[in-house]
Amino acid sequence: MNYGSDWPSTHITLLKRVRVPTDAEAWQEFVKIYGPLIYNYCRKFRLNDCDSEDVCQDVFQQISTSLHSFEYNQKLGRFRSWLGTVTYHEICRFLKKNQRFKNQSGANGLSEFIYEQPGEIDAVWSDEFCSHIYTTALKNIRTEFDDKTWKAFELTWINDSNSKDAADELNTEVPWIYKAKCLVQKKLKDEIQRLSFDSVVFQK
Amino acid sequence: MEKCISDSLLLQYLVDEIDDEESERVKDHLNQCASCQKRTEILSEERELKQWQACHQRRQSDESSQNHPFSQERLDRLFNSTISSIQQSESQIPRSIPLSKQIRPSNQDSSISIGKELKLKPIRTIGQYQLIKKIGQGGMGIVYLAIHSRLKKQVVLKLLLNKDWDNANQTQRFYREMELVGQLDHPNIVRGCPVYC
Repeated sequence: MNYGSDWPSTHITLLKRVRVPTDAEAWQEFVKIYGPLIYNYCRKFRLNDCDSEDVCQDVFQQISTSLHSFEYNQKLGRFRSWLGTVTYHEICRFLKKNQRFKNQSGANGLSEFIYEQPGEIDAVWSDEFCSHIYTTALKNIRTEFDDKTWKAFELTWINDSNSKDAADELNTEVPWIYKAKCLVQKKLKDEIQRLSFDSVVFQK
Repeated sequence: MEKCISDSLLLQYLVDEIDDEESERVKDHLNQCASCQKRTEILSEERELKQWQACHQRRQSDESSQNHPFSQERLDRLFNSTISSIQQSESQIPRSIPLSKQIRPSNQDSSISIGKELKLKPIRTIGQYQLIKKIGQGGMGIVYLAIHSRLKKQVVLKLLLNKDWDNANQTQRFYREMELVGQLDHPNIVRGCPVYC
């Protein structure tokens, strides 16, 4: 795997580290970032609690094996697409293995559904991925800011209030609101990049 | 009012890259100049972040997209099973059996020749059982193929990982699983039997 010149070293470290199966610390972080996303995606396909965990385990094992053979290439898919494909295939493999799902859903079996609508699946995965990374990044950076700075960001970014109203509500000046919003935005952007590996593109 | 602030200086002000005196001057000007306020808002706009936020809002508006809770306990369990399976896979041992499947051996498993297995050197002994090989490992425990030394009967032995005996929750899950297995009697489900070690 190669990396773009603008790729922060911490990102390289985690992806490089998860190539080593014995690096439990790296895997712990990797599972923490992507476990909830993959689990909830499995639940969307009506997999139960235990089966979803099993598929998560299969996906991570597949990632562990495949990471060795992927190389950087701008023209091919991003990490998120690759992860979506691996997850999708593992769900398909699970559904094929467990015929009971077909029996439950009759002629319009779930496995038929997922094979017939790959485009729609891509769009759903993309939204799931972005939403998960976005909320996780927000949660991760929250503790790095004091309440007033965070409130300024919430008002202007999340609630879309204008800066003058936000300044009045927080009893401060408009330039301070600009700076607070900018500060949190920058941190949020960095954290999203850290979590999403968006600058890394994979090629098999 | 003094001359308007340049774009580059406004950007430096936003990220705190100018000294206090200059910062104070930019702030005073911004407080009075609607035009510079407007430019600052445009300059600090993050289109890429907006796209991430838009995806999140789109997903939130879909009522069928509510997430299932993902507790720390689940995270720990998933991490343990993952690290076990990838390490096991790396050491060329056959793919681990998912945790929830560990007590459901297939017909193929039960047809393994006992005579052939007995020729293999046991890894170690637990009570009357000689461990033949590890079948799988999850976050909670390890499953071994074993043979009773006197009866020469093939069994599947499930052991709770050492570290998990300190975890009351995990231990209770293990006992509950034993109780449930004890209540089942079906040709496709492995029968539970007590082990005294």
